[in-house]
Amino acid sequence: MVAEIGTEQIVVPDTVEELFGTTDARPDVPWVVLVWDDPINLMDYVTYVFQKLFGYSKAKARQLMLQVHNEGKAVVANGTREHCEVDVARLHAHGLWATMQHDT
Amino acid sequence: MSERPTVARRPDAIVLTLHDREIQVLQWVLSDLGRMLTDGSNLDAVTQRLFPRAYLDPTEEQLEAEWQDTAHDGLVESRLTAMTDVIRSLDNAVPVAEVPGAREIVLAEEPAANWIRVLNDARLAIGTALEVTPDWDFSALEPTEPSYEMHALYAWMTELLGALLAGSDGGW
Repeated sequence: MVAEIGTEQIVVPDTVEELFGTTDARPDVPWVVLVWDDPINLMDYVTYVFQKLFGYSKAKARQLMLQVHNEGKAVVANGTREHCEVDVARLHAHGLWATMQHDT
Repeated sequence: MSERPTVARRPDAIVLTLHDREIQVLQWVLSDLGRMLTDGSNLDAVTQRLFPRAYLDPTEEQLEAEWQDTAHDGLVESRLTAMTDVIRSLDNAVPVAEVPGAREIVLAEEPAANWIRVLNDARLAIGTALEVTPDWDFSALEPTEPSYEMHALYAWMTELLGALLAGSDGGW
């Protein structure tokens, strides 16, 4: 829409999307990276990847792997959106089924 | 492919012994996987499994599209780089003097990591194509099963990957 300020006319976006574009303009609240259970990846392999990528101890990596296996998924990392995108890419590069979402 | 893969650990390396026919099969599998990775389509289940979505929430389509644009080529490239390293080691496998038809591959830490990653990718591709389920059991399959040979290959690669993981356990 067009608004008048003093003698000037300026175009004011009608929606937030017009103002900020369609990318997520919300404050960068924490995101989490989830790894999901799948029938192909070996349990030892998932443990190995958690150790390799996140530097977790074998005990911590195995505990997370078991959470994935028994509960269907586990949060393996968190942080900003950009940080989580990098972690998801690293997990995908190693064949793990990983997704990210807002921390709820 | 019925024999158990031989993997031995030295302080600084893993020594993998394979028969000529096993090397040929792996070369065939990796050649096929390489074609699939560079194909560019993202329609079939195998490709979707190798390159899953990052954003599960369907309202995040814009972010998903941006992420795919940013990440996909790098993921393909990194997989192909690891695969090239594995193929090179297969090509350079050294005959074992005392075992006719056997060849030895000596893997330091990084090449071993590449082998583990590439074998896992190949298992993902074959397992997805076979629609493997959590209760998959090769010993329960009949040899008359149409995809029995592929299941046998999947079982053998599972053994090999397990042996390499065990070999790399305990640090370098």
